[in-house]
Amino acid sequence: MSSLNASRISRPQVRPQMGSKPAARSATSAPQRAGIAPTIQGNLALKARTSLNKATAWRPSIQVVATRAQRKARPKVFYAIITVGVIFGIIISNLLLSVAVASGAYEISAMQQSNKELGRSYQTMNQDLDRLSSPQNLAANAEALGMVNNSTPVYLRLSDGAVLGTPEPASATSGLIAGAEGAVPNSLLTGVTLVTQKESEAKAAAAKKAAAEAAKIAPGADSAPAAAVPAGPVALTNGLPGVATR
Amino acid sequence: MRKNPITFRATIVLAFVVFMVGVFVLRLIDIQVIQAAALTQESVDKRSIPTTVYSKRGQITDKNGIVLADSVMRYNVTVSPKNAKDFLRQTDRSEVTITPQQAAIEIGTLTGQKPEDILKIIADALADNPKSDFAYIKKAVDVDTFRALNALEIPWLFYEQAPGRTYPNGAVAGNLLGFVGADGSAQAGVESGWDSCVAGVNGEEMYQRGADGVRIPGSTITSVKSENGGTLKLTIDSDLQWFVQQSLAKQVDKFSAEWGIAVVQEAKTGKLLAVADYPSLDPNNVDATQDTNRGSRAFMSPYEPGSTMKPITASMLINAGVATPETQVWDPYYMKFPNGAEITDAVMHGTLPLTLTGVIEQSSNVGMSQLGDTLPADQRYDYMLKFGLSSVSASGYPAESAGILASSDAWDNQTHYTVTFGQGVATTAIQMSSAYQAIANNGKLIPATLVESCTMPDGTVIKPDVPDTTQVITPESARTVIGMMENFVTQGWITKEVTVPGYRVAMKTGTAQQPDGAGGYKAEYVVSNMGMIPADDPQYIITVVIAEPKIKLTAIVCPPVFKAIEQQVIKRYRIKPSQGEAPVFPIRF
Repeated sequence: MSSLNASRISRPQVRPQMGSKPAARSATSAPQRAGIAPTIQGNLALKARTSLNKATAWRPSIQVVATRAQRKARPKVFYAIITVGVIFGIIISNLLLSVAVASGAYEISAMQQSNKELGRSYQTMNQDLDRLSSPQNLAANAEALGMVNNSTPVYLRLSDGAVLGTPEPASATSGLIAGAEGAVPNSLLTGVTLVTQKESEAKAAAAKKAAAEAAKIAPGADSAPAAAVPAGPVALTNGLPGVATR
Repeated sequence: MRKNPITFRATIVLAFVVFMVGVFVLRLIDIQVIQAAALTQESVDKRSIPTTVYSKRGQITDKNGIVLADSVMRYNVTVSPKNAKDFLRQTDRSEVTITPQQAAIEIGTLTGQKPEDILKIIADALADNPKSDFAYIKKAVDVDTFRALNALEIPWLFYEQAPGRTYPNGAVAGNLLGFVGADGSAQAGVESGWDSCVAGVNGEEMYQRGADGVRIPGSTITSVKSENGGTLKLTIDSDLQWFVQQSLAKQVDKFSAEWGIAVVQEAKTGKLLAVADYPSLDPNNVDATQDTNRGSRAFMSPYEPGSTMKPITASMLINAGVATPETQVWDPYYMKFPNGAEITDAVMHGTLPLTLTGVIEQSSNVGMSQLGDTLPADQRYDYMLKFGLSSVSASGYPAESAGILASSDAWDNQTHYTVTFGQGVATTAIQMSSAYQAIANNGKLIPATLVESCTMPDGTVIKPDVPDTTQVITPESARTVIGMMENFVTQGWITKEVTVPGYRVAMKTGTAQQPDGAGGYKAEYVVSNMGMIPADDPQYIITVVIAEPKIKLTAIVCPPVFKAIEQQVIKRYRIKPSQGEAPVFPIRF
């Protein structure tokens, strides 16, 4: 096709002053406009010759005119652009997706961590609640508040107002169940204060008890060398280093 | 012909390139095809973290859902001894060097250890192995301690999870619950007997994580699925259990007795509402209780019941039609029987004209032996078997004793008579309670149960198998025996000790000698009270057993506990005051 084009182009062509017209005009439209029937028909349309006498100021104008196939082929570029665009789109969205998944992983990790922490808090609080609601603690607190257990049940029958049973007042000591220590131990309640007790008192009592127990277990503990640990340069307050440099 | 140097060089280069490419291709095939599986595995292994997903051991609750045993996560504090060196701690404004000594002080304050002990753990580990990377500082610290330790940010301190068990109510039902070992395996009590319900299955999983330690999504492979344990619901009422335990403990301590048992059982269902043992076990602190006191004596330790057996013998006689409450017998203090057996009563007295009711009211051994003999030994033995005196309950409590009851063929001349008043036979408190339950429940024995249900995590409820009920004696016989036990209260010395105004109670005391293990009997007694309230329609069986109180007049030891439990049961279960009057049976003729 190119060789055919070349042979046509090598021929001197006369072209009327129509160069201002777009080169891509179709082969048929120009002659028609000139009112002359085209002399050549076919794929390669040359501009029709016009009368030579008019052609005083003509210049040669050669131009490749796309074939029908080429014209038809042109949209393929468009498809290619679409394809490449789609591929890039896929790559980018894939990238964004994996970024999202990865950041989701951090989010999951953070949430699992906070779930774990909340679970721990739940556990400690639940444990506190359970041990504080143990009968030992409730009875000890009730008695600390001066409550006693009246062991003489009496019923009032609503239908006729009859008193069933023999009412007997409870004395201040008769109903004591728990006593000072309580005979049913609960080691979880160590250090738990009674409602009537100030925290400091309870701590002192607990410390006293612990000291007494320690003395019971290891009578010779006091003679053991206590200075096995060299004193560090940092002063300890409440068991944590108090930093001197401020 | 001279070669073109350029062509020649190109050929060399080309050959070289072809050779190199060939080498690479071969290597590539080797890596990608031949070794592919092994290498992939190796890389997965390097990125994968195997973890144990701890299952939750199920809760044990009382009948009202109050948690008696629960699972908690605790933490073992571990150390890398070889790395236990100085480290820098970032504070607000500067960095401070923390020496292992200072760190040990900080750790010790939180764990309650002495700093020198902590340093010794590290030093010992290093002495064993200078490259030691692991040693325990303290096992099973709670969450608060773990958090505080973690906040210290000591780089050579590490933690591992250690599932633990907590018993919020301490020693309330502690002997029943039992405990689990440090490794989480059930060691005793219901924990062990019903392990199949509460035990979970720990899971195993692998996941991959990135360089920053974050789990890669979708990389988790679960090889074993973690399954939580079920919730075990007991028939125990924890508030009543506490009260019973407390009342019992005070009395046992008061008389310096060896041990005590108190049981409350529902008459119509056989369910055990309270089974108290003293000395009690606090499962949170097992070491504080002596080894011998860690189980439940109510289930595990048979004792010779003594006179509390008399109403059971009387019920056999009445049911067999060989006696009525008015059956008469001459009761001397001492009697030698034709077969050579010699029986005496507890207290010196002249010969008394007693009815069967009177024999129970006076708690006469001689009278009971004479009347009991009217029923052949094998029939009495059969009745005892029917009363469950040789079988375990339906509680599922591990290591439960079936008592010691020889076959009637093996009874010697003495035992032939003594079994009628509860010597020469040993029963557990649960067995005796069940026998009384049969009398209270119109003669029908329902095996004692301790477990209401087991609820699995998926919601399925498993009810324990309960053996069939047994009609031991007729309802009329049962009614009669209850009447006789009521007369024991209304006509005896104990009236004031156990009567709650407005309520009728039927009961019997027992003061029994116990074998000393050398063929004879000990000087001390096991005293017991067994009864049922209200006597007009028995709802609850109460058993109190106290062993070897240090007092001459042992009869006064149990009634205060019995009465306290009576009153508490009446209040707690809103028992209406009794209707009608107690029947009056003649004591003497």
